[in-house]
Order: sequence, then C-alpha cells, then structure tokens
Amino acid sequence: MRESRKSKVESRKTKVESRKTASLKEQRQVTIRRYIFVFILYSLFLTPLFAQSNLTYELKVGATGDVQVLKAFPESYAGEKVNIRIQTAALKVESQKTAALKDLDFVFVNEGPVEGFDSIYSFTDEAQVRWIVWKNGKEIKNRTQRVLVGNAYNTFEAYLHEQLDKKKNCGWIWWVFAGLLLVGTVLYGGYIFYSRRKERDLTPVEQETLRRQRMGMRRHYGSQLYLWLLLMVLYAPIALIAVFSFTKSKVLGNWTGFSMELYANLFTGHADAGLNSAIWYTVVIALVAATCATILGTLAAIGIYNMRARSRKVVSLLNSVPMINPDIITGISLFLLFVALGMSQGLGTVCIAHVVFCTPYVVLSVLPRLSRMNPNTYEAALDLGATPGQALRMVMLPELWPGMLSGFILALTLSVDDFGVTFFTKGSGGLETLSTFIYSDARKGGLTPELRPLFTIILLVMLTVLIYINIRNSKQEEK
Amino acid sequence: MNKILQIASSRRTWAWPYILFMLLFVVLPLILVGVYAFTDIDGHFTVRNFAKFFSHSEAIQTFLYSVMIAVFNTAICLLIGYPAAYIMAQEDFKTPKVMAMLFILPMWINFLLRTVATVELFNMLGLPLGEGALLFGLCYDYLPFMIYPIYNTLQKMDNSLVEAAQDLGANRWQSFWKVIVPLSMPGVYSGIVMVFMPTVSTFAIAELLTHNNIKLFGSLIQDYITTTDLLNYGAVLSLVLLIIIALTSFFGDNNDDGEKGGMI
Amino acid sequence: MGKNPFIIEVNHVFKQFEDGKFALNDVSLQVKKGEFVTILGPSGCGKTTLLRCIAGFQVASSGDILLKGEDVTKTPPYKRPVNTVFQKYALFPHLNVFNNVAFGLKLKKEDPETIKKKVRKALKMANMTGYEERKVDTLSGGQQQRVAIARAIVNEPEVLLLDEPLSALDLKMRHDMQIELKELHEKLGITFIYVTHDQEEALTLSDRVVVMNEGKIQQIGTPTDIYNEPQNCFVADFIGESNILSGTMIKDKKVEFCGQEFDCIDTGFGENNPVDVVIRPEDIYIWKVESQKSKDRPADSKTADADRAQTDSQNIEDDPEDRVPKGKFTKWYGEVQSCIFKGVHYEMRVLTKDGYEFLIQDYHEYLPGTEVGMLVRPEDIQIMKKEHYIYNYFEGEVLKNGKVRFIGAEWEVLPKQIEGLEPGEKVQVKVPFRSIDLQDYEEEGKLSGEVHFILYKGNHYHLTIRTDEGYDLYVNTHDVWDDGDRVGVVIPKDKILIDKLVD
Repeated sequence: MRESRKSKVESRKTKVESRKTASLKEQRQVTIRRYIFVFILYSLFLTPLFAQSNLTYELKVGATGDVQVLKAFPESYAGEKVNIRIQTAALKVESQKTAALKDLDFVFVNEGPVEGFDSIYSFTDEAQVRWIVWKNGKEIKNRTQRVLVGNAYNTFEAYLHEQLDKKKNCGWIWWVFAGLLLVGTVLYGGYIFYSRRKERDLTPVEQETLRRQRMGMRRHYGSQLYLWLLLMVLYAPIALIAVFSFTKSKVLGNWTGFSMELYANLFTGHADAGLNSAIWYTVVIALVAATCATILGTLAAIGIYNMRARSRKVVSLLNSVPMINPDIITGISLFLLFVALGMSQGLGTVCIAHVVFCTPYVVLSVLPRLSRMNPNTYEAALDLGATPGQALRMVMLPELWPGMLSGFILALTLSVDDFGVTFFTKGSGGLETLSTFIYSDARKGGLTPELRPLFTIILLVMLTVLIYINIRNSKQEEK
Repeated sequence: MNKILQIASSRRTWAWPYILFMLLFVVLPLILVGVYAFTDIDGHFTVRNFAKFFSHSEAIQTFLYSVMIAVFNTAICLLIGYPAAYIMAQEDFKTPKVMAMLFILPMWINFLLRTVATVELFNMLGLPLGEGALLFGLCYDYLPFMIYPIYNTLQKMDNSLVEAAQDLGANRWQSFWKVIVPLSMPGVYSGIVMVFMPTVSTFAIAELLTHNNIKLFGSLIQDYITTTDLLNYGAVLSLVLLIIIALTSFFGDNNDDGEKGGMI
Repeated sequence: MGKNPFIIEVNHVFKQFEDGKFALNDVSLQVKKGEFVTILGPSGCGKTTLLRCIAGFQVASSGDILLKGEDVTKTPPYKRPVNTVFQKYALFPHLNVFNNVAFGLKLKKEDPETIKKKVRKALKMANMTGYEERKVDTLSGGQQQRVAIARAIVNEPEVLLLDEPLSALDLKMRHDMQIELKELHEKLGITFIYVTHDQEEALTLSDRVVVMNEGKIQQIGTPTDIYNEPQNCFVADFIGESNILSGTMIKDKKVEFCGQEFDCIDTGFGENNPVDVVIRPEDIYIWKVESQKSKDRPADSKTADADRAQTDSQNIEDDPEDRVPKGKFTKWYGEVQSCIFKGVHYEMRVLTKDGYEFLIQDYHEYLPGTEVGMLVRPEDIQIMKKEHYIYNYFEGEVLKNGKVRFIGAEWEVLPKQIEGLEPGEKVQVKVPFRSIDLQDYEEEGKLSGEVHFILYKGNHYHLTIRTDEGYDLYVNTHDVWDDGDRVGVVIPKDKILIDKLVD
C-alpha cells in the first residue's frame, strides 16, 4: 500500500514539474518571438533609409557668391548629363522683403570638377538657394538650402535620390537588408512551426493551458506594435545622427565609409574653433550654475521646510514660477533686467540666468529628503554643543547628500540643455554655448560634422546617468 | 555675534538668500516686462505700444497662428501619447519600466539637436520642410512631456477600479471611457500644460523646421526684443505671451506633480 | 435537462503564474444556490485567485468554471451574472455615492426613474440612506464598505463575491458588519462567496467553509465539521488550537499515541498504520493528582488495564465536582508547566514524563508544578491519515564521481548504496525526516531554504522546508524554528538510502 501511494506522489510531482517547465518555455518563446518581431520591424524601417544611394554634388559658393561644382559622387555617374537650376533670393529679416526668384539654369556634366560654371550669380548677403535637378526632363530633386556668403561652410552637398540608377550602385545595402529581413522572417516562421510541432506532443490539458495563455498575450500584439513603431519614429533622428557620426562626410545622410575621424577631431581639438569654445563654455557654465544652484537650493530647502505653513506656501509658489515660465519669458525678462541695470551681458549674466532656472529643481529634490529626516537631529546636535555650521555639516549634509546630488545632476543637464534663456542673456560678445552654437550653425544651413560624435557621446552619457539613477531609485524603493 | 548665531540657528532664515535672489532675478524681471511694455524708448509712460499691437495685423496673425499650431500640436501629442501611456501602464504589459524610460530619454537630449536631426531626416527622405515638418518636429520634441504625466497618473491608478467597472457590466470600451479617462484627467491636464506652454512660446524650432518660412510668435518677440529701438514693443508681445501662459497654468493648476523633477 | 442544483461549479481548475508557481492546483468546488460559502486560508493560498477566476478577472490555466451549468471559463467579467465587493472597496473617486451605486444600472441603460428607485432600495438595504450626494472619499471605511455592497447588490446578481470585505475595518466595526452581512444574505437569498483569512469570520458567517492552502482545497465542510473533524494537519492547525500527535492505528477504533492505547471511533485506517491524532485543547479533561500516589504508581511495568483500574479510583477523590466522565477511559499524567488566564478559561501546558506537551483549556486553574491526570473521550479523538511517512522521497541520478544528484545538488553517499548502479542511472532516494540537519547559517548547508510550515507534534516539530530550487523537504527536529527562517540543509551521507528505480 505504501508503494502505490508513494508512486502516486511521485507521478504528481513530475506532473507539476513538467507544467512548470512548460510555462517557462512558453515565456522564453514569447521573448524570442518578440526579439525576432522587433528585428523585422527595424529591418523594414531602416531599409528604405539605407536603400537610397545618394548621388551627391559638392558645390562651393564663393566669397562673391559664385557657384562652383567641386565633386560628384559616385564617380560611376561620370558623363551623365544633369540639369541644375539654382534659384536665389535675398532674404533680409528686417526688410521683410523677398526678392523675386532668379532662375539660374545650367547643365552639369558629371566629370568631376567642371569648369565654366564659376561666377554664375553674385550674392550680397544671406541667401536661400533652391536646387532643382532634372534628368531627362523630369524633376528629380528639389531642395532648399541656406547659404551665407563668405562663410567657411559654404561648401555644401546636394544629394539626389537613387531614382537615377538603383541597381548599379549601392544596391548591396538593399540586398543586405532584404536578406536580413528574409532571414528574420524565415527564423520567425521556423520557430513558430517548430514550437507548434512540439506542442503536438503535449497532453490536451497542457495544449489548452498554452492556448489560454496565448489568448491573453495576443491582445497585446497590437499595442506592442504601436509602442515599438512610436519608439522607432522617436528615435529615428537620434539614430540617424549616431549612425552618421561614424563617417566623415560633411553632410548627414551621405555615407562615405566607416571612419572615426570625427571622434578624433573632436578630442584632438581639430574641430571648428567655435565648437571647441562652445563646449568649453557649456561645461564651465553648467558646473558653475549647478554648484551655485545646489548650495542656494539646499539652504533654501532647509529654510522652506522649517517655515510656517503659510509662508512656506508663498515661497513654494515663488519657487515654481521659473519652472512654469517658458524659456523665452525667463530669457526676455532677465534680458530686460540686465538692460535696465546696464549690466554688460556675457558669461556672468548667463551663469546667473542658469542659476535662476536650476535652483527650483534642486529645492524640489532636496525637500523630500528633509521630510524623511528626523526633525530633531539638528536640534540634538545644537544641544550637544555644535554651532549651526557644524550641525549642518555633520548632521544634516550626510542625510541630504543624495537629494543634493540628484539636484546637482538635474541642474547640470538642465543647464547643458538650455537654449532659450542662454540665447537672450549671452549678449553679443561672441559667447556661445553648445545650444546656441548649434542654432547658429543650423541657420547657416548645415551641421558642423563634429557635433555628431559629440551628440552621440552625450546620448550615451545621458543613458548611463538615467539607468544609474533608475537603478538607485528602485533599490531605495526596495528598502 | 550671539545675535548672528541666533538668527543662523533658526533655520527659517536659511531661505532668505534664495528669496532675495528670486525677488531680484525672477519677480523684478517679470515686473520689468510690464514696465517696459508701458513705456516708450525714453522711459515715459505710454500705451502706444499696445495700440501698435492691436493695429499690427502681422503680429496678431502670427499670434493666432502660433496659438493654433500649439493647440494642434497639443492635440496630436495627446492623441498619440495617451494610447502609448495607457498601454505602458497596463498591469499585464511586460516591460513597462524600460519602455517608459525609453520614451522619456529623448527629453534629456538637447532639443535643438533633435530638431536639426529631424530636419536632416526630412531632407534625407526627400520630404519638404514646412508646416507638416513643423508639426512633426514639435510633436516629436514634446511628445515625452505628454506621455510622462499621463503614464504616471495611470500607473498610480488602482487596477481594482477597472475591475470593479467590468464587474458592474462595463466592457473594455465602457470601463475605459467611464473610469480610466476621468481618473487620468489630472495627468492629461498636466500633459497639456507641459506641451502647450513651450509650443506656444517656441522660437528656434519653427525657424529650423521651415527654413524660416513660417514665423511663430516666439520668433516675432525675438526679432523685436533684440532690436534696440523696438524693445518696448517686444515687451508688449512678451506680456501677451505671459498672459497666455498664466491662463494656461491656471487651467492646469489642479495638479501638483513636479514637472521635470519627477522624471528621473 | 434536469434541474442543476449547483449555481457554481469549479472543475479541476489550475492557475499557473508566469513564474511557474501554481496559485490554484486542481481545485474543484460546487456551490448550491443561496448558499453562504466561505473560502478560508492563509495569505497566498490562492483563495483570492479562485474568487477572481469566478469573477472573470483571471482566466484559469486549465479546467473550467460553470455558472448555472454554463461554461464561463473564458467569459469576460462584464458578461457574468456575478458582482464583487472588493477588498479595498474600489469605489470610483470621481463619482458620488449615488452615481457609484447607479454605475451598473446606467450601463444597462435602464430608465432614470427605475435607477433612482433601485439605488434608493439598495442604499436602504446597506443602511446608507441619505448619503446619495456625498463624495466617496468623505466617507468612513465602514460607510464606503456599505456603498460597495450597495453598488454590487443593486445589479441583482445571482452570486455575490466578497473579497476580504471586512479586513480594512476595525474590530468592533467588523463584528457589526458580520451581522449585517448575515442578515443581508438572508434577505436577498442569493449565493454569497466570501473570501477571508479570519477563521472566526468563516466559522460564524458561513453555511460551508472551504479551507485552502498552497493552491489546494484542504477540506470542505460545515463550520462544525471543519472544527471537529479536520481532515489533515493543516486544517487542524489553522482552525483553532489543537494538539497534533503522531500515532499508530492499531486496528479499527483503537489508536496508540504517547505510548498508550486509546479507544476512538474512527475506522478504515487499516491495521498498524501511522496516523496523525488531533485533540482539541478543550476536549481534554484534567484533574489534580496527589503527587505521592502518582510517584507510587509503577510507570511501565504494569499493563494498561491495571493502570486504568488504579487511576479510576484516584479520580473519585480528586474530582469532587464530578466533572470528569467516569468509565473505561485511558488516562495519562503530567505536570503543569504554565497556566494563563484567557478570560473565560485557563490555558495550560502540561508536560508528560515521556516528554509530550499538551495544550489544555479548562475552567479550573491548576498552578504550574501541579501533577495532573488527563483523559479524553473517544469521540473527541480525531484521527487523520498521515500525509507523509518517515521518508522524503526524491528522484535522483547517479553521477560518475560516485555522488548522487537530487533536489538540485550533488550528495556524497555510502559506496554500498550505489553498488551495481551505472552512472547516469535514475534512482529513488530516501531520506528519513529526522536525519536532515538544519543549520542556522544557510552557507553551512549544501542547500538553502526557508521554513515553510511548522507543526508541533507534542514532543517534536515537524517542519516543511522549501528549498530555493522549490523542493519540499520534511524534517523532524527538536529545535525551535520560526516560520520563514532561512536555513542550511545538511544530509549526512550515511542517512541517504538509494533504491533502484523500478518502472
């Protein structure tokens, strides 16, 4: 009798075990399927981006506004006839007038540097150039670019879509992605087929269990797809910059082979001088502003915490004003203040402005730590003979430290990120931070190539900081 | 000396430097905007600047256009962001934390760079820059600000409320509209404020995304305020913007969620 | 089709969560129309999961659930004729009391007049008349509870599910609400399924109690059945207090424990089979014995019958109030260790000479140090089948290095145990309960685990240790452990017995 009972127990145990593994397997299957699914989506999404091989013309607008064709890629197009029309229009903001477009037609034979196209049209000021490119009487390219006469970056590239000749050139990229897509699809299909085959060996009860589990998950497929698509759109521009930081072409979207040259330039100071000083200023301003904001904000938080309810409300309201105010209002109001006070605008004013909008966030990150603290420790320290300064240093700071740190980091990122306030308070002395540099750079019609690696590095740093803070927060929550 | 010590040991006083600082650099400048709006170039009181604004059809048109763009952008962000936040806040959804982080991360990257990247993407895909690009870029820049607060309120919501609704006979659709949506309204308000306010006051993005073809109110203010003799008129425009901001923040007043502070 | 007496039928339902754990493990249950059924169990036993499966918030992994004979296993909650009262009420904070109660009716598109009438009636039933316009967050816990009940019953469900509805209320409020719930059940005449971890609540309210543990139903029965005739150690231990002892069923109506034979009324356990014996503390009679006489009493040499004859005569003088039943009852003796006044009765711990400890409740006080005699009536001895015997059984595998792998670790064994076995061969491993050593520090053991369940067996503890890999080990020990203690597990190599596995 004991034997039979025992074997019953055993069989029950193994049954439970097999169920357990079945569920784990199902989970793994779902994970694998999700990865394959995302992979396919990405292939679909990225293929058109890379499938176009660009026919690129590098043109130079000279000091007098003359246009010169420097180079054309790829060389295999040599000998092909392309019509290019350049439309220009003087564009002065103040006058609000737009000159009539002038058409400059010329035929371009792709044979490397071409003579005979110098001195086509002379610009006098900032201008907008519109390229219209025909081939065989069909318009294939219509692009507007901004040019500044005499600017170092007037060499710019106009690129054409691969409607010209797809198969001949960069078709291989397309094939690679198509291949990847095919592999992904085959893997996915194979996996489904394989797991369905496996399922046939299960008992009917287990099959029913799997079916019910899957029923719950299928509901999410649509939602998952939505989120992933949204993320892809959200990250497409970012990914674009990150990807093209590994090639040295001047224009984004023109892949001229893998290269770390831009990174090297960035770190050896071979990048544009304006960019170098912008990075330098950004770091200095961020550090100064964040430090001041942390000190000021921590003191303020301690003060606010110990205030009576009514005055606390008033100060909290005051604290929230810079957070609610959009950049432009903060910037303009400070600009007016500096004008009224007759202060010359420069590094100092920018730092003050940054402290203004950073401090409220420091206050907000220190306050919760204070409310978690035992309110009597400070008094206890005073009671034991510490001066207020000592009590602050020895009793309060160790407790407030994490809040101050996250406030400091927050202030740093806000300061680095800021454009609006800096723009209005930097004055006209040539002070540029990264943001304002990007702005003026972009207005000129292109992005300094070294910004791409810089951006990629910032992205990675941000990612690391965010992950670090998240991990720390979740650990604290566990406690 | 003793007296100083006494003052310092009352911790209430520790906020004084900050209060002083804020009065000087936040309150005073805002008052100055008003002062400049009501004075002419020589500092005499005048309402001519306002008269100019109301007869300046370009300014009014730009203003209305900016508000319209901001409303559109807010609506689009809400339409796209709400479902995303809702899906992520679902209890049985697998990887919500990482997902939410991924959605919030772009917020921390310089928005000008993101805008430039958007412009480049449009160029690369051969899409024309203009109103469409402007809306796309704005939406792209501010979507995280919509998703985050909604996600937060939805996540804090007790799931048993939804279950209670279903238990009482509401199908998924009904329980969504009758329970989830009303309860997530604080998050929606705060998202609307966080998207609408920066959009209505934006100035650099529009320029880059439309190749300066479309001018928003922010750019207009920028043009005037940086021109010395038109500074007072610029102050009037800023005041108009300030009023809009004040009205909007009043609209979203019923929630106290810290904005960026809560995002990490 | 014949009339189905059951309104709810749960057939072999399993519910497995993603981590592989079973919240419900083969649960079957039938509920008659109009019954008040309570599902009782400790937290995490699966009782709420079962309720949620019936309500439709969770879908069973396998098995089915029938409502009025109709399969509703996969039916969404809004299509089921059941309503739930949630643990923390789950009232809609954006609606006032009236709209909360009217929520379900409005969804059904009933006309406003009917809605008003029905809501008023439901609120009256729940004693909440006059609160219609109040916001729900201004109500007290008890009032919110009443609104939650009104909101559920206004839809006239055929089954009302209550998920620990009183757990958030204070003691006094809870008692009042218990009475109200009972009255409500009688008034409405519908089926109530009530989930709680409070045994008193379960016993007072329900027609039938379902005791659950670890995702399995331990026992179903009326409150009296559950209390007086627990079917296993878990139920005996969980409901009320009890003395649980290991014994042997000598034959029908004859059981041996504490070294003595007792008459009992249970049959059908076979002959000389190990069993568990449960005696409720209030069922043991106790009286004072003169220590002189008890010392004189020859302890072991005499037969049980002679012993009985002698002690019978003792009773008469020591029990002047005549409380102890007369007759041929087996008696045993011990010394009172502690005595605590519990309000109505005294609770005493009595230690016998053989080292068995008994918990006894009596109206009389016997001070520590008193020698006492004890007896129990045959009908108060509850016999239960032993769930597991002396050995842990595991499936193992012989390894090349002469070790044996089981429960997720490699163990050294005596060479003679694996003589003639090939490496890789599957074997059955036996480890006696009392041969497993538990260490205070998990690092000292080969495996680490947690004390999962403790049963005091009179003179030793019977522990269930759940290892981190998810295996259950049964251990008999004299050491005192607490629930949830982390332990290291050591099995001496000479205590591991290997059997060849025969298919």
